[in-house]
Amino acid sequence: KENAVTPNKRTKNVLKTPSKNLTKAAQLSLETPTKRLSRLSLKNSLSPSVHQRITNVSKPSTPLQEVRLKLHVSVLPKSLPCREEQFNEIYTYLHARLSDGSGGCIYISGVPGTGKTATVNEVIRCLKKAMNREKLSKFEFVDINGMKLSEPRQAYVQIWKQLTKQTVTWEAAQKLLQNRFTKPKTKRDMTLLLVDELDLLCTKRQDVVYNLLDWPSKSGAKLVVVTIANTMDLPERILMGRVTSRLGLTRLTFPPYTHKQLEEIVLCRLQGYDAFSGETVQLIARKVAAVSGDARRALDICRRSTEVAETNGHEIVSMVDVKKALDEMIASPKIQAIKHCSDMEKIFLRAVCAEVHRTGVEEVVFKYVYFQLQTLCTFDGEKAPNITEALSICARLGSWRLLLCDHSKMDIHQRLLLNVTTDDVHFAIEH
Amino acid sequence: MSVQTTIPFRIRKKNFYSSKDNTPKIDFSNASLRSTPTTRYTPTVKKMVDISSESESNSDEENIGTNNNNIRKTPKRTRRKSNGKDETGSTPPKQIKSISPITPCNLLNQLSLLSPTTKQDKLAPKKLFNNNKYSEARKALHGSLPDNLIGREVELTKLEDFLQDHLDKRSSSSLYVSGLPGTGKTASLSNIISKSKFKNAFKIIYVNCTTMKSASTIYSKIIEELNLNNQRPIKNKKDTIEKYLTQPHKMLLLVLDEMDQLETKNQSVLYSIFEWPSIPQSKLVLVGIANALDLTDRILPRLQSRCELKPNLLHFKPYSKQQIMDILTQRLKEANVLDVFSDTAMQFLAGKVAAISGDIRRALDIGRRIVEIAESQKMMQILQPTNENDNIKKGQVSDEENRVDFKDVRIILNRVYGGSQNADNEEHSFPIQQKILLCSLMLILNKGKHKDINIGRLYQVYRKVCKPRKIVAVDMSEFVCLCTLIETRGIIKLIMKKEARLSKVSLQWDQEVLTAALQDKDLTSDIINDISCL
Repeated sequence: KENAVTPNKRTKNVLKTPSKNLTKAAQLSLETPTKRLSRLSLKNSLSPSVHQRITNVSKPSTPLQEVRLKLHVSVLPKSLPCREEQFNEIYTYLHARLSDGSGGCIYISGVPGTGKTATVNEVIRCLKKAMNREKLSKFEFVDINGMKLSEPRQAYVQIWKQLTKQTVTWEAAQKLLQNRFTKPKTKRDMTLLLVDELDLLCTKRQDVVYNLLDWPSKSGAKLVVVTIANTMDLPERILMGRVTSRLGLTRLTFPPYTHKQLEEIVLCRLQGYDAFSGETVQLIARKVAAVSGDARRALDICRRSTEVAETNGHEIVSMVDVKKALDEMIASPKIQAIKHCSDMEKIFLRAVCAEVHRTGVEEVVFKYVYFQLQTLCTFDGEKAPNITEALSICARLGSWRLLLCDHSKMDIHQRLLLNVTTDDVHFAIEH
Repeated sequence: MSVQTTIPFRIRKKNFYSSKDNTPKIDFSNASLRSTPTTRYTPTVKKMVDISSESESNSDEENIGTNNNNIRKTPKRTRRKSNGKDETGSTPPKQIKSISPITPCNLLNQLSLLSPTTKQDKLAPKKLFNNNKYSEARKALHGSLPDNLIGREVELTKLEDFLQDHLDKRSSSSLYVSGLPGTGKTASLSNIISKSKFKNAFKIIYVNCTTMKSASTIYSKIIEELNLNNQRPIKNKKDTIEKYLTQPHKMLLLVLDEMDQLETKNQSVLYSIFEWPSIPQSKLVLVGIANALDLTDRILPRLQSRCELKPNLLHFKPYSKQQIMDILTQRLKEANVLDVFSDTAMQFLAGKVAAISGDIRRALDIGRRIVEIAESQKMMQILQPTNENDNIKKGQVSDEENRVDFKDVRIILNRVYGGSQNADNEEHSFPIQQKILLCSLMLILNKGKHKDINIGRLYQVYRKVCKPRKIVAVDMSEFVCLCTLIETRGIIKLIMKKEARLSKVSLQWDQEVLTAALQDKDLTSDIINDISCL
């Protein structure tokens, strides 16, 4: 065994010496990819950057373009309208926890586009401002997003990276975090952890969620966890009993926006511009509020209608533009698709409808549809296609997703399902 | 007065001219005692006089021949400083602050909490809340491990006896502790472990199994804790531990928290761990903690066949109402804020929690939440009237002593235990399309022939419902989105299939609750009875 060890040592020494002799500049120039990688991962000395544009970005020239910039979803307003109540609740909760120095969890839920993350970020910004003005004791802020993690356990790595700027494996990160939060140390600052998309961190064992929610209950942890997810009853539906118990009962639900609130949100962004005439905003708000109450969607439709107005050559957005934008957004492409089908495809669709009507069952077999097709063709006075042609028509309609087909190897026994309502088919073919 | 004379001496050493400052300062303090706002103007005038007198004093003290420049410069500097101070007017408030601990205002404050002077309120309204009882109460109700466990005396003595017994006999054994979440299993164990007599007698290994990567990593963790890895990397970790156990060693106490995480397909890890105590000469006391009452029977049936392998069982019952009461009162008493909660409020809270889960984390959480909300409410109450008429309202608030009332507790509990179904106040913002979707679902469930519903069928009915009501029906893809949106509220459940059209929909709520939540009686009853749409 000793023999095996010594040559190794020698070889190492031999390999080392030339590099020692080199000057520093030469060493740098000889940097190998692994060295660079180690520098990147361990010391974090290089910050990642993106290539810059060669030319400057042109500034918006017309009022419509300016409005369009203002209406972009990524532009966060200074204060979020219609979310004052939720803001206050989260702010008082976090402020109390941070100033007390005790840990805790809060669970925030709500359908997409109701301003959950925006409100929480706003609260944290305010808390940071308070911290900078030394009205609040110092705290560290860490945020992770379940969507941005390739695997739930990568959460440990991300948290540790944001705390210390070191990248380590998740096992090591977990151990370090465990040490940090379980060993009582009085000097440490508070830590505020924001976990977005919590439901993606739930695995079968739920060890990541358990750990994230268990640390705040440790006396020395000084950790406040804010969790955000869409589902209102996630703790009861997915999480285990012991995780739910640790999550606690501090919960907050963001209701969908009503049409008045959506209108206010859009008008708040449009302050100082009168690019939208009269009740156009109201129409958009009402349409969106009836379906989902999603603010992102309302803003998107507003943006689209400014674009439509621009192409139409209007100075301000009129009702016609909004109507067109709404139609585009809520238009069903399927009817259009049926309208543009070939004649035989249309007859095939009618045959499927007829077969559905005859049997009363949604699922039909190709064989019987073919019989229907033959009858319809004789009615129309056209030559009926043979089975191979009919099968290829069927496959084409299936690839358009107007029909849902079985495997094509089932041949004439394959089952078909209409992916549009029969009403749609009749409507599209008659008009 | 004596204090004031000593402080100016220091200043005199720094800048010369403060010698004359003595007199104004005395005036000043007197003025502040009188608490007349006009005092702020006086120092500026007096200091102007000082400066002129000072330059004279400088020239008197130093020799004329040394260097004129210096003489010229120094007064300038000092002048600037003094001027700056005077212009900003910062000095007079500073002096007031330094004296403030003895000021009559503060003395008055200490004398009577009921009626602090109006001036103080306006200056620092926040101080009233910061050091009041609410934050103390909040801290007292924190969910971290307490020092003394109330309501777990029996279990604690049982645990202690068990450990002591095996310590005396130097025999090995295993124990399985079960109980629902939040019944104090880990707290009791860590309490026992931290006792010095066990700490010295045992070599304690505490492992929380959720931190393990997989079940078999537990071995390497134990090896690490036992410091056995000073040799080369160990291949057979299990054998090393077993070898260690057969060798003479100190008594070993192995605590496995959340033991059910070690479940594997053939339970080899759990079996081998539970077999360790039966290894001859091993001195291992094994304590496993988990939620399930019958974990050892259910997943480890082979242990039953041999008596020496069979673990002792200890069950932690959910906390009773009285125990929760005791814990809450004890916590609050320690922080000396027992009067924040009224007796009925406490009883109600304890009764509710005990009836539902007996989870102490829950009780503490609700308690803290109530205190928080009461605080924010009271803060709003106090903040508003101070502007208008101070004395009357203030007196009222402090008379009540801001006790948490029965009513507050009930509101919170309703919000918590009503769950998602009882969220009345927000349901008014139910989008209309979602309402119609739910109504059509109920229509199919009530009047339809087939109760298994997929999205395609629901969409068909929905379209028919929309038509006579002159509502634009949404597209199919949009409709699927709507369904998922409703699912996030927990009202329906979708079982997704390969095709969205085929995914199954099932109603999760009771129909009565749902109709109440929709808050649109006319529309609902109209749609539900409309058989023609089916």
